Amino acid sequence: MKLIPCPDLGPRPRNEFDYGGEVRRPPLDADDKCWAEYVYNRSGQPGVLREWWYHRPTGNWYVFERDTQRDEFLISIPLKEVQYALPSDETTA
Amino acid sequence: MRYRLTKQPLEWIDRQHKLRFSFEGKTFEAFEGDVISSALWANNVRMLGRSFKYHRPRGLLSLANHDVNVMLQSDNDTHIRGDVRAVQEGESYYATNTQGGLKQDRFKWLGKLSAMMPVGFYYKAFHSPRFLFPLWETIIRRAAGIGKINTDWKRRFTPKWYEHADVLVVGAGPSGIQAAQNAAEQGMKVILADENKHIGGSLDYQWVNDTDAAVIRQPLKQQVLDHPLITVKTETVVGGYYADNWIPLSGPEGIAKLRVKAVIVASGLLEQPAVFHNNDLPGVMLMSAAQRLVARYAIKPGNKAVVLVANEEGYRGVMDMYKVGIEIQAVVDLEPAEAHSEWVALLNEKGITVYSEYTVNEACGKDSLDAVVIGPIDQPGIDTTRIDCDLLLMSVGWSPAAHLLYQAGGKLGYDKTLNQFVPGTLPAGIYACGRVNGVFKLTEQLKDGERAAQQCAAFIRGDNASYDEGAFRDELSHSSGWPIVAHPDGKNFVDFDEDLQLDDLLNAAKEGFDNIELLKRFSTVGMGPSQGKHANMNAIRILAKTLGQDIDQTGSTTARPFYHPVRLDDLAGTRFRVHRVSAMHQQHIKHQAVFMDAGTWQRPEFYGDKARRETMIREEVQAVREGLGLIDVSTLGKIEVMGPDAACLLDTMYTMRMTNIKHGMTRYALMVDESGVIIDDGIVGKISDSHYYLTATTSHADITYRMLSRAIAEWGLDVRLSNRTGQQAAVNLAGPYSRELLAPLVDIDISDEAFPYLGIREANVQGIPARLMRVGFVGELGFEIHVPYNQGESLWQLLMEKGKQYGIRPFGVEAQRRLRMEKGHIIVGQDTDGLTTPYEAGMPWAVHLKKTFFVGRQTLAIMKDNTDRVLVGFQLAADGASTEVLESHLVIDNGEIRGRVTSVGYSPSCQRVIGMIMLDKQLADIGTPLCIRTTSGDMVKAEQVSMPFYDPDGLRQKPQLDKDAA
Amino acid sequence: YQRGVEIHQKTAVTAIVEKDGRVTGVQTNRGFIQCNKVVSMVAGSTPRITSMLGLQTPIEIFPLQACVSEPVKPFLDTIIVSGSLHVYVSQSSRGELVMGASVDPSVLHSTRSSFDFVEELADKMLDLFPFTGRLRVMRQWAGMSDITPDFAPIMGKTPVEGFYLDAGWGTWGFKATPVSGKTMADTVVNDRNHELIEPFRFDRFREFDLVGERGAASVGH
Repeated sequence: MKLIPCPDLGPRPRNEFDYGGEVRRPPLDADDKCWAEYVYNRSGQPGVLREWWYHRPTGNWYVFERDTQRDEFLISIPLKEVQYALPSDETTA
Repeated sequence: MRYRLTKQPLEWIDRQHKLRFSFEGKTFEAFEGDVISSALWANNVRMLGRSFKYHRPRGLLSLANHDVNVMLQSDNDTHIRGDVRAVQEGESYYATNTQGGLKQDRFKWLGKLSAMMPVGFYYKAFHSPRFLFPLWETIIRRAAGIGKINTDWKRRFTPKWYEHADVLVVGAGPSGIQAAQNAAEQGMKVILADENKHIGGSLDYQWVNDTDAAVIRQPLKQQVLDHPLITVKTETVVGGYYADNWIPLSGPEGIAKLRVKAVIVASGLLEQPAVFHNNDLPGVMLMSAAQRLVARYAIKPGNKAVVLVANEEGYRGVMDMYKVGIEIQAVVDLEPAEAHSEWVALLNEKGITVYSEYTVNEACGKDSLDAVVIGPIDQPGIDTTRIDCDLLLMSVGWSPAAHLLYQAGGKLGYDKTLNQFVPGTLPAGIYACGRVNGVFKLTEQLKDGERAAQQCAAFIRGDNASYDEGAFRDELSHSSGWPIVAHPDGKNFVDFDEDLQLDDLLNAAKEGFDNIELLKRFSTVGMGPSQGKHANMNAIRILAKTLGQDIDQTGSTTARPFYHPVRLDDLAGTRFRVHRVSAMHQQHIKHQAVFMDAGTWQRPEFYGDKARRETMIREEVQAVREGLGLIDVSTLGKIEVMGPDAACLLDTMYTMRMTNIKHGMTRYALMVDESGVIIDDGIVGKISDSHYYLTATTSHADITYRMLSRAIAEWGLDVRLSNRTGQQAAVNLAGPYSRELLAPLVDIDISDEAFPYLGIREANVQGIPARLMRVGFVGELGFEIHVPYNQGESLWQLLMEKGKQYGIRPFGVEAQRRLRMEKGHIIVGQDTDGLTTPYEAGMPWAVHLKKTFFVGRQTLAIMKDNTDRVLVGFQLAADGASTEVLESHLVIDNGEIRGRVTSVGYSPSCQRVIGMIMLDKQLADIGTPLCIRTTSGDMVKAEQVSMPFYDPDGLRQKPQLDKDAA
Repeated sequence: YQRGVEIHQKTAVTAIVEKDGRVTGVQTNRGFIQCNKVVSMVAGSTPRITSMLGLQTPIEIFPLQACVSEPVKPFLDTIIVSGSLHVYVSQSSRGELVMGASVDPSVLHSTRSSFDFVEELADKMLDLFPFTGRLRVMRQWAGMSDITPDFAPIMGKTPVEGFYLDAGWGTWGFKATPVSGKTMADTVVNDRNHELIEPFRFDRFREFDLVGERGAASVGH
C-alpha cells in the first residue's frame, strides 16, 4: 500500500485517506459558459496536481502536490496557501 | 517405490515415516516429505495429468511449482499442484480435466482435432456458421476449466498480519543467503523468504556433487538460520511487489503484509524447455527437475536417458544422473560441443557419446517416452538417429524469475552474451543478485550477494555510492538462442498450460499480431496458471525470429502479480466488517425485530413475524397514524456546529438560508454538490448564534462531516465540528398521542405554543438529558429525542412502558418509508440518482437562489428552468392486484423508456399501492395514465396523482388535532 | 489491410496540427501525416490528445482494476454485479473467474495494481460465493479509464473542425463497440453527429444536459 507523507504524522498508508480531488477555486462573476467549464472540465492530463486528501482517523484535511503519473506525493501545501474568502455576503440575514 | 534411490546426502524425505495415499483410486506409498508428483514418480506412475485443451498425457516437467498440467483434485481442495503439495496421509487425489479418469479420459481424442483448433479459435472458429455457435459454446463450456469447485465448501478464515523489516531478500539460494547474511551483519533486520520447504536453492540440487559447494554449504545455511536479525520464511511465496515496498508474503499460515526499506531479489532462473515434436510426453523433463527429484526425494528419474544440452549446467547434470545409475544413452548438444571440451572428454571416458550441434527432433511413445529421434540442427529428416530411452532431460536455457523486478518498475535488457534478460536500470532500493542477475558461478554468486547487500545497506543509510551491478556476470551463454525445432507434424509445444504449438504462434504473428502484448492476448500464450514461466521466453524468441528483430526490440510482456496464484481465502483473510448496532439493539431483539443492513448499521426493517412481513408493516404504519409509534433513528448523522462562522458555514453548504433560523427552531437542510445534484438532506437546528445542531442521512453522515470540515479549511472559517453520530442515540416518537405521552415525562412545556412544529429544545426526560425536535418526516405529530448513547436503552424502555396505554408500537425502516412516501418526502439516493437536482425532485422551495453564494447555487440558477424530468406521485388501481410493481421498474411509452419507479409500496392510509416515478417532464401531468413494465413483462397502468398522498395540508402536525385524530 | 487501412503500432502522436480552427495533420514520433479529419479513441489518454488542440473536457483518468482466477469447471453462466458489495464476477469461456470492482478512488495515469484492491475484492467475492475460497487468483491488472461526470461517453464533433472524439467510456464499452464504430464512421463521413450519439455530444456539459442512464438503479452507477 502506498504511503502518504503526512506533514503531521509522518508516512501513513493511503487507505487512511479519502481523496478530495483537485484544489480549485470557483470563478467569481462567471457567465454560464465559464461556470459550466469550471463545474465539469478538468485538465485530466498527467502531471503534478494539487489535491485534497482527508485523513479519516484524525479528521484532518491536507493538500499535497502529487505526480499523477508516478503516483508520487511531492510536497504538502499549508492550508493557508489554498484558502480564499467566501464569495458570499455573510451579513445578509 | 521402485524408483527410490538409496539415501541421498541432502534428501528432504523422512524414511522413518511412510504414508499411504491414493491417486485415481489406486493406493500408493510415499515417505513423509514427498510431494505428490515425487511419490507417484517413485511408484513408476508417469502420466500425472492431462493438458488443458487437447487432453494430452503430461508428466513431470519442472518439479518447481510450474507443472500446471499436474493439477489435482481432492475432496476438499482443487488445483492442487502435484509438484509442490506434500502428500497427506490417507488423502485421495484425482487428476483434473479428465472425463472418466486419467487413463480413459473421454476427451483424449481432442488432440487429434488440434488442426481444427488453430490459434485464436475462441475468437473465430466457432462464429461461422453462426447458428452453430450456441452448440459450440456448450461444448467449449463443458471442456473449459481445470479443477472443480464444490459448492458445499465453506469459506476459511485465514489470518493476515503485518510485518516490518529493513530488507526483504527474495530467494534463499546461495546469493540470497549471502546477501541476507551480509545485510544482517550491517545491522539490518532481514526477512529471507523462499517458496521451498528448505533453504539452499540451487546449491542443494544443482551443485550437489560439487566439491566447492560441499565446503560452503553447511556454514552458509547455518549462519542465516542462527542470525538474530534474520527471519527465515520457507514455503513462503513473495506474491508481488506493490508501491512503496509493500509486499505480500503468502505462506502456509496465511498472508503477511510486509513493509521494508529495500528489497534484494535473488529469485534465480526458471529453466526453459526445448520445443520439438512431442516435447510434452511424460518422461521429457527439465534437467533441474531431474536434479530435484534426485537430491530432494531420492528418486531415479528414469533408467535410460538422453540429455539435450546447451550449457554447462547440462553437462554437470549428466554427471549427476550418471552418478545415480542412470544409463546415459547420448548427450545432444545444440551448440558446438568444443565449448565444453573438458566435460566432453569426461563423458567420452565413461563411454557416453556427445552429438555436437545436434538436436532432438521428436520424442516417441504413446503415454510415456520410449525413444527420441535426434539429428543435426536445421536439417530435418536428414541423418536422423532413433535412440531408445525412458527419460529425456533438457538443459537448454533459462529465463530470469524477474517478476518482482518488473513490478517494481525495473527495466531488463537482453544480454546477447548470456542469451538471457538481465536487470538494467532498477529503481532505488531494489537490487538483484545471483542468477537472476546473470551470475552463474557459485563463488561469483556469493560475491554478487555481498555486493547487493552492501549496496542495499548503503541506500538505507542514505549513502548513494555507486556499484557495478554487472561485475560478476558470466561471460558464457547459458541459454540457447533458438531451442526450437519446426516439425511437419507439429505437437511441438511452446506453452504447456495452453497447448500452444510453434505453428500457433507463427500463425498469430502472420495474422498481424506481431507485437508481444498482442500475440499474448490473441494466442493466450503465457496466460495459463503458470503465467508463461515456461512459455514466454520461447514465444519472444519465436516472434523476434519471425519479425527478424532483436529480442530487445521484441520486448517482453508485463509480469503481473501474482508470482504463483494465491487463494481467495488467503487474500480475503479474516472477515473484518464494521458492524454497528444502536444503543437500543437489545430492545429490538426483544421485540422480534427483523434486521436489515443500512450501510454499516443493523436496523430493524420491521418487528414481528417474519412470514407476515407485509401485515406487520401495515400494522406499524397504522399505529403511527392512529396511535403511537416509536422508531430508532440513532443511525442519523448528528453534528454539532459551533463557532462565530457556524451560520455562515451552513448557509454556504445548504441550499436554504440558514442565517435567519430563529433560536430554538430547525429548518430542512438540503445539500447539493457543485453540479447541483442532491447529495444529502437532514435538518439544522439553532441552539444559539454560534451553535447549531444538524442531522444527516445515515449513509452520508461521515461524508457530510468530511465536507463541512473541508469547507472550514477551504474558506478559513472559525467553526468547530463535533461528529456525535455514534455518541447520541435517537428515537422518533410519532403519532397523535406522542405529546400526551411525552408531556408528563419532560421538565419543559411541550405544548404547541411553547414548543411549536419544527422547534428544538433541550430537556430532561425523566432525568435523561435530551435534545427534542419536532419533526415531520412521517407526517404525524412527533418528537425526535436525542440522548447520550448509554441512556438510549433506558429512554426506549421508558417510552415503551409508558406508551402501553396508547398502544405504542415500535416501527421499523420499512414502515417509516411508507409513512414518508404517503407524505411525498424523498429519500436521497433512493428517489434521487447521480444527476437529480432539487428541481427534478420537485423541491424548488428548498432552494434559496437569493443567497449570494452556496455550493451549487450558480448551477441551480442555470438549471432552474432547464429540467427534463421530474419526480411525480402515482397510484395503482385500488383492487390490490398490482403489488408486483417494484422499485426500478420502468415507465414505457410507445416502446420508449420514459421514467423509473423510485419508491413504491402499499399505503395503508390510501388503501392502495402508491409510489414515486422519476418521469420525463413531457409526460408529467396529474391524471395522465402511465404504463409500468413489471418483472414479468406485464404492463401495469398507473395514475399520476399529486403529492403528498396523505394529509396534503399538514394538519396532522397542527395542535388541535393531536388528540382527536384517531 | 484488406480495406486499405494502415495500422501503425508503437507510434506516438506528438501533436495535432490545426490551421484556422481546422485539423490539417498529425505529427507522430515517426513522421507527419497530412489529413483533414482526426478521430481520437484513446481511452486512458484522451486528455493528452485533446490538450494538443487546447480542448478541455471533463475527462479524468482513474485506474480500473480486475483480476482473474485459475480456470475452473463452469458453474456460473451469467455475470453477477453486486450493487451493494460493488463487485462483479463472470466466468470466461476458459473457465476463469473474471472479477472486478469500481474504479480506484483517485486520479492516476498508470496501470499499476494494488494489493488492497485484490484483498478487498476477495473478501467481497467470498461474501457472494463462499465456496470459491480454494480458488486462486492467478493475475491482476489495471487499465486507465476515461471517466466523465455522468459516466457516459463523449462522442462526435468537437469545437475543432475535423477533430472527432469517441472517449470517456469509463468502465463501459465492450458491447457498445460495434455501434459506436458505425455511428462514429457515419459522423466522420458526414461531418454531423449521428442521431444516436447526439445525447453524448461534446457540448452537453456546457449545456448542463448530462446523460442519465435511463432505468439505472438509484445510484449514478
